[in-house]
Amino acid sequence: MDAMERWRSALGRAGGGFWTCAILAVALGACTDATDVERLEISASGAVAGQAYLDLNGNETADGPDDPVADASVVLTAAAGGTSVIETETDAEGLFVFEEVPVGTYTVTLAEDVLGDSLLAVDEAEPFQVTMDTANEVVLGATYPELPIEEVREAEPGRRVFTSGIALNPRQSFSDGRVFLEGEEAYLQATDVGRTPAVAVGDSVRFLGRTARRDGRPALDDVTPIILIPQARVPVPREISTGDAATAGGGPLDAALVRIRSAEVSDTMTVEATGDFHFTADDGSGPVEVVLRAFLGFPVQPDEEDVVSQAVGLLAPYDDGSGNVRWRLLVRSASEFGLEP
Amino acid sequence: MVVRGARGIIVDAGARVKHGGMALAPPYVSYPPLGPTTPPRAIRAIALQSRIRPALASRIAPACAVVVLCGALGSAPLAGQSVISASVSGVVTDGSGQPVPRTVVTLEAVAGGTTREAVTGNDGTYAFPLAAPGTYEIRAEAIGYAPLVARTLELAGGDVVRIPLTVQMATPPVTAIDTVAIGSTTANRTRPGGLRLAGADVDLLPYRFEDLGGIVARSSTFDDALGSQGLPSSMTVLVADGLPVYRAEHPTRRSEHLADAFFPRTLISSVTAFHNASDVEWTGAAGGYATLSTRSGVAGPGAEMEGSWSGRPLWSSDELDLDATPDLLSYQAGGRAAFDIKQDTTQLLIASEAIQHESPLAPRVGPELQDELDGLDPETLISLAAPSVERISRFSGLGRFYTQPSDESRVFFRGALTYSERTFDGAGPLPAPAAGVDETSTEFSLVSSFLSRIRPGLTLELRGGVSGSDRTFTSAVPDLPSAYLAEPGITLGAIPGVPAETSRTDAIFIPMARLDLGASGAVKGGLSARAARHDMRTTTWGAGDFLFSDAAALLDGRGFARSADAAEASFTTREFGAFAQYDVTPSPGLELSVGARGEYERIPADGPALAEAWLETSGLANDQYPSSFPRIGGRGSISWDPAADGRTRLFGVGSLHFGDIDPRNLFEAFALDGGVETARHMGSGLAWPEGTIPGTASELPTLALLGPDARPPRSLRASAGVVREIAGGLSVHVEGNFRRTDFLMRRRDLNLPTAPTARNQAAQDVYGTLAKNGALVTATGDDARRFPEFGSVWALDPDGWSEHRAVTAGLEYRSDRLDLYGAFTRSETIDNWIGAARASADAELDPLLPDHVGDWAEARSDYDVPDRVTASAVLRVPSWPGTTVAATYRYASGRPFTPRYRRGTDANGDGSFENDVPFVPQPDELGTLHADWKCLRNQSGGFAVRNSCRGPASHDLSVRIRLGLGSLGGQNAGLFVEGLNLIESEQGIIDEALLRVDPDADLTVSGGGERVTIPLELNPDFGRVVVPTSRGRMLRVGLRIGG
Repeated sequence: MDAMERWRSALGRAGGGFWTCAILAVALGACTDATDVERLEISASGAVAGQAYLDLNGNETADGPDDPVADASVVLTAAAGGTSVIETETDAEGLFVFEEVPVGTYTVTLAEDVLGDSLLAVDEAEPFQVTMDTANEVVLGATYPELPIEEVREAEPGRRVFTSGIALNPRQSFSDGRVFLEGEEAYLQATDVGRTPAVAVGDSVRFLGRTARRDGRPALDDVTPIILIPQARVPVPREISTGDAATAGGGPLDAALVRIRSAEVSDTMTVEATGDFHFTADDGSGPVEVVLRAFLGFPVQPDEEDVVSQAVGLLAPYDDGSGNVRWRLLVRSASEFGLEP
Repeated sequence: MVVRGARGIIVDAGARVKHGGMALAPPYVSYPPLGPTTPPRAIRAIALQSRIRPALASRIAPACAVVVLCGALGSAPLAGQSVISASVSGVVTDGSGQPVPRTVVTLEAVAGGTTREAVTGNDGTYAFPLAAPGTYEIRAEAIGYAPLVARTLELAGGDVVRIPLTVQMATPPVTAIDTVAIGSTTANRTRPGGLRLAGADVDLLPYRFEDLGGIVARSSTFDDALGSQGLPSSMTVLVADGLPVYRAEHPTRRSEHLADAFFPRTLISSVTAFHNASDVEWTGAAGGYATLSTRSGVAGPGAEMEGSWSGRPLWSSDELDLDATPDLLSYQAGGRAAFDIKQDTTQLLIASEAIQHESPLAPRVGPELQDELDGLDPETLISLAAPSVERISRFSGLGRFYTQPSDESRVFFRGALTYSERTFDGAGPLPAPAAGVDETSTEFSLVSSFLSRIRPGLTLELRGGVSGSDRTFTSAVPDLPSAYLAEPGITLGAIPGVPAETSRTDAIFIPMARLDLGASGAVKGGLSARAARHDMRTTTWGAGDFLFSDAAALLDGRGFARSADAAEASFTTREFGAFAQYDVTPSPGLELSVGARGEYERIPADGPALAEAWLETSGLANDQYPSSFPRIGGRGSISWDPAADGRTRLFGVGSLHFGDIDPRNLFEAFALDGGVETARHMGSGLAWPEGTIPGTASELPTLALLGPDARPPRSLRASAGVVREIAGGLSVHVEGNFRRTDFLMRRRDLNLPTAPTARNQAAQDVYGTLAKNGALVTATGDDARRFPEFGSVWALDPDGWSEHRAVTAGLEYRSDRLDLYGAFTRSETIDNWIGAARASADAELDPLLPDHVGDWAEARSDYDVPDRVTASAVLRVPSWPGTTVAATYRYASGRPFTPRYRRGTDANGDGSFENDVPFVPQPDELGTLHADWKCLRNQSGGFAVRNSCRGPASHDLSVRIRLGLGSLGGQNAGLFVEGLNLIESEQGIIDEALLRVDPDADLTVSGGGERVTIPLELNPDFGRVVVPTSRGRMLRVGLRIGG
């Protein structure tokens, strides 16, 4: 190899060119050599333009309440090879453009740091062909992940997520804007639900909110509601014993809509601050605390030794003061509470 | 001395001349030098004798100009008169008494065996000292003059005979070939440019069947496929009788073995090999030129025959079980006959030759693999496990007609026809880049020339010819598609890329004139027009190219496969040229020559159809490319004899000349215009040998595009040397050569993704998604493409170059009993022409190594053979007339090769598994390879350098013993025995795989898919000859009658 290096340095490309010129300068083109050859290259290009939006209503379409994603990096990647990237920034309207893109197959995505840990691209990046002198239009959506209620319950607090379910109560059932949701196999209480649109019982809804803990149990806080189908289904309460209600069936019925029957009343009291009436009901399986909130306007208040014929309500967790989580039955409306005569 | 049986005008010049004479024999084919020869004159010829006094001989000697032969004349041997040997000398003059230089005078023993040739110097003298007593024929073939044949000359011991020869017929052809001497290789070096081997060499020395290649390879700078100076054989043009003869070329193989001579050997009078274009009239070769001349002076009417035979090889390499091979028959038979149609002025020569050569080849499949393949069709399996027989047959015929209508004109026709075929009984040849394949070829060549001297000093010549070549390559095993088993490294079935049909027909016409200016030199000029019609068709992967991990995977149908449609194209190229050359001798001993040539080559502008889909996708139009190529080249040379005593000659030459556009590149660009589709598939569902690939594999159009700067290759050459006679009959020569060739066409895949998807463990970019299947790792079927709807899209750009430097030193000794010749060439060739010798488009692609490696392509050339030695000896046995022992020995360094991955590993994931370069492990990881391979030690810890290792050197020793048997039926007879390939050298297919894929481990992907690790292991068989290709030693016996 040493010898080869020496040869090359002594009489390499430059040397060859020199010889060519020196010996036969008369010859046409003699002073060019293979190193001067113009090679066949693909120089055609096209353009790629588009808009980035934040899909706030979770419908995977730029519309309604969705915001443009401004000042965000957008990345153009060669589809057949993953690492070549060209970046540009979106403007205030979320608009971006790549000019002079060499023809080829590409994908366009929002940069990783735009999406962060919580956002997702609305669509999987589909490769598309940039052809000569044409502009390709790409709409990029960013959205939050949609998790089923079961997964929201398992998620660590603080994540912005979408989840969907059937509303078990109207927002106005609680002064703090709580709405309980029924999912396929679990329930969830959502707190601080936006006022509009007004969620009603039985609406099929999608909630965008932040995972949180409330009273030691999972919740979705700071919720922006979207009503997918108004009055989609009348939720059916789960028949449950008072003993199971107090433990939410061991946990799975946290935030569930349940019904208790034939339970004897004891330990009645009125909470002064709210006027809510609390009592204990026991159908023999164990006691559960029942709450009749004052603003729902219950026509009757049970006395001790009355027997509740039925009560339908939402199982809300609370701390019993000794660090244990127990559940109360928050009766949903005056019409869903009755005493045996 | 007796001169007997001759015709023509006889001048009895001495007491011992009983009869004398020379016949005006038919045409010569060699053309005369343009140099400052004596102006031609019409002459009456003839022969003369005399017993000459030693004193007279020594007066003649110093005037001699040509080194070797005249050296012999001018020194010791003539000083003392011998009574055992005779001496013949004389002056060749034209009719006006002017000496005629550069005339070949041949003294041939009628009993056979001894043929000596001398060349006259500028003073027209020639000499044969130390001729054994006996009966000789003396003939003169003056370049530019009609040949002169004397019948018989009887020499007795002590005769000192002077025969002035007067050459008849003074109408010289116009063309100059820059070779001045015949018969002495050293003498030929008195003018720069090449090496000439004359009839004696052709007749006496043993050759196998590659006549022309074998002969030319004696130059030590050509190989036996006609490759020279580090360029492939396809860049050497063969010029026969003054006009080029082109062979149709395989559409994809650049260095196929040129085994055939086209012409019966019995009529080849001389062969010359040139690196430097020796004449501006020649064109088309950026490599070298090999010229041959057919015989002109035969011994009058009559016939000569020769036949030889051999059976099995005597012995062969260990791998070949000769007991298991079938009976073999090799033979060679030829003859020539001459007819005087009109005495002295019109003659017809015909010759024909038949050759068959059979060699055994090792079986493809050994017993172990045979067991593993149990389940294949039994007949297929048997054919793969049996040794095969390669059979090369060639039948050639040649006719030559010459007439002199007048003293001022001559007409010459020559036609040749050759049919040859190469076939295999059994599974056929093993795949190797230059492996032979089944082939049938038909070649013809017709040449005619008309020459007329229109006034003193001005001669016109019209020369024209048509040649054609039609060749068909078929797979040796037509029903078996190629199947490669990666673990054992064995190929079953056909060789990928072989099936092809190719033909070309060339027509050429050259009018030219030569004007002698006397002392002011000579000027030659002319025009040329030629056209070549090409028809080419190939099926790259024919019925499919399959790769399997091992036999089990084959039986299971799991592996990689690709297929391709047939590609075909027909087109015509044309070239027009004009040339002029001026030669002058400004002072005695100094010869200068300058020449220039302009030409214009045109290729079809509408070769490919416009691939609209590709244009829309990429913006590149495949029908836009340069179609006309004007160019100007030239040459200049100087030859200087400083003492003007013929003992030392210095020479130098520089030239710039062009090859033609390679028709293979045009074929690709014209045939691959989007209509040819390929498919590849990795996975299961393959069926071999049925040749089916799952229908899910996408068939994608492929294209080849000529770049905007496409042009023919160009070679710049410079050489200088010296020839010196150091003692009587002994001379040495030293020559240095430099060549740089530009504009070699290189290949890129325009459909390579613009960026990689991942990196492998060697930090090399990977462009596709790798998948593993046993010992195979390839990109998955549909990715690794920038434009997924296209397959390979080749860009062909002339950005390749090649440089060659060489020094040749030679020694030659000629005496009456012994001729010795030896030459050693040390050279170095570097280029950036990746895969030039590998006959696979994929292999020409850049391996896509990391940036820090630099330009990997710039390295030792595929054709770099640093050391070549040739030696030959001819021993004459005076006591047994016609008996000679001749031997040739050739040595060449092994071919360089690059350490690779085992085939079937696409480490860079670009869709090709022919261009992958491994990372050479650290020294402590190399195991026994560390000790065995210096080339690996030197580069461990880096990517393998292109062509950094070298295969075993080759040795070739052959001997021919010819025994004179006296007269048989009125004709001289001789028995000969040839021992061919007497040194068994370790030639064969080398396992170039340094690393192979561990079949049992998995690919691992990490870093979110950005890093892929291919499980690799060292191949302990690296560099070994895994399949020997030596054909074994051979003994051939034959009989020669006449001649």
